[in-house]
Amino acid sequence: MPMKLSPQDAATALAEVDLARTAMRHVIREHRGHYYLWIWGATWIAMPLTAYFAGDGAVRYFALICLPGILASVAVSLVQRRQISSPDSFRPFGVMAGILLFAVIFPFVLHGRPDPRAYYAYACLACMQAYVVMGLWVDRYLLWLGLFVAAMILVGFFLLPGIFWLWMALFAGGPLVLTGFYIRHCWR
Amino acid sequence: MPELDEIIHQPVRLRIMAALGSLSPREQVDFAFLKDKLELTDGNLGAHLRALEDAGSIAGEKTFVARRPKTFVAASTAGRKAFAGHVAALQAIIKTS
Repeated sequence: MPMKLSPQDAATALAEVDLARTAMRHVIREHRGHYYLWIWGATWIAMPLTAYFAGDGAVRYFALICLPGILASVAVSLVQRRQISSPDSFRPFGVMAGILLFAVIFPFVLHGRPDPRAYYAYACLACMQAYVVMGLWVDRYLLWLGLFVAAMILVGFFLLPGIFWLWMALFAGGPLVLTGFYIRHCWR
Repeated sequence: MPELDEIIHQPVRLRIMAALGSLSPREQVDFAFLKDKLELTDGNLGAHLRALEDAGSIAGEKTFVARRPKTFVAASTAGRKAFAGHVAALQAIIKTS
């Protein structure tokens, strides 16, 4: 015999559904990737600022500056995997490994000792290529972020060599941090 | 005409399906985490998950994370369909009243 419900009972049930969906939406919002944007935005601000104040030679310390970012990313991923797991959970690590190889190691393999500014600009552009690709496949905001930051990198490199490092801190690292806040607070 | 699902309609199971249905089809949620989010006890959540699993609405996966046993649960395709049908039936009842 089919179930019968009064409109009141149906409304109560739908209210329960909404409550549970809202609770889960908060959880999903915490898994959107803004922590990674904050971590790497801060790293991308710290690296060029170090070079701005200490000179181009500070590039040799960039790997050291990246280390807390890598550790923090691993920690975020582990915590989030304990809550919501999916076969795609390892994607951020795959992306990071790809960036490390193509953006950080290959320029050294090909050039030996590349020019610090060209090297940093290239590494950032390679990261933005990953953002553009992920934006096309996964989430559109990454596409626009990747294109915007890539344009800013080129502007800083070709048009503003005098303030290149400061420019990179503001317009390469800054947008990552701000996008993190946008995702965290404005997405529903 | 969408139909009500008696298994899913139970209030706790309705909340479980609403929560699991909010995730993408490839995602699964940790048992303890779901318990906290829905403010249920271990026994209560476990019993309702068993009922949903028996009905084919969810699938559970036992695994080890940092050497500790963990259970992840996810809504099945059939469960998502049944839940969507149930919600549509609830909306239809309100609409026709």
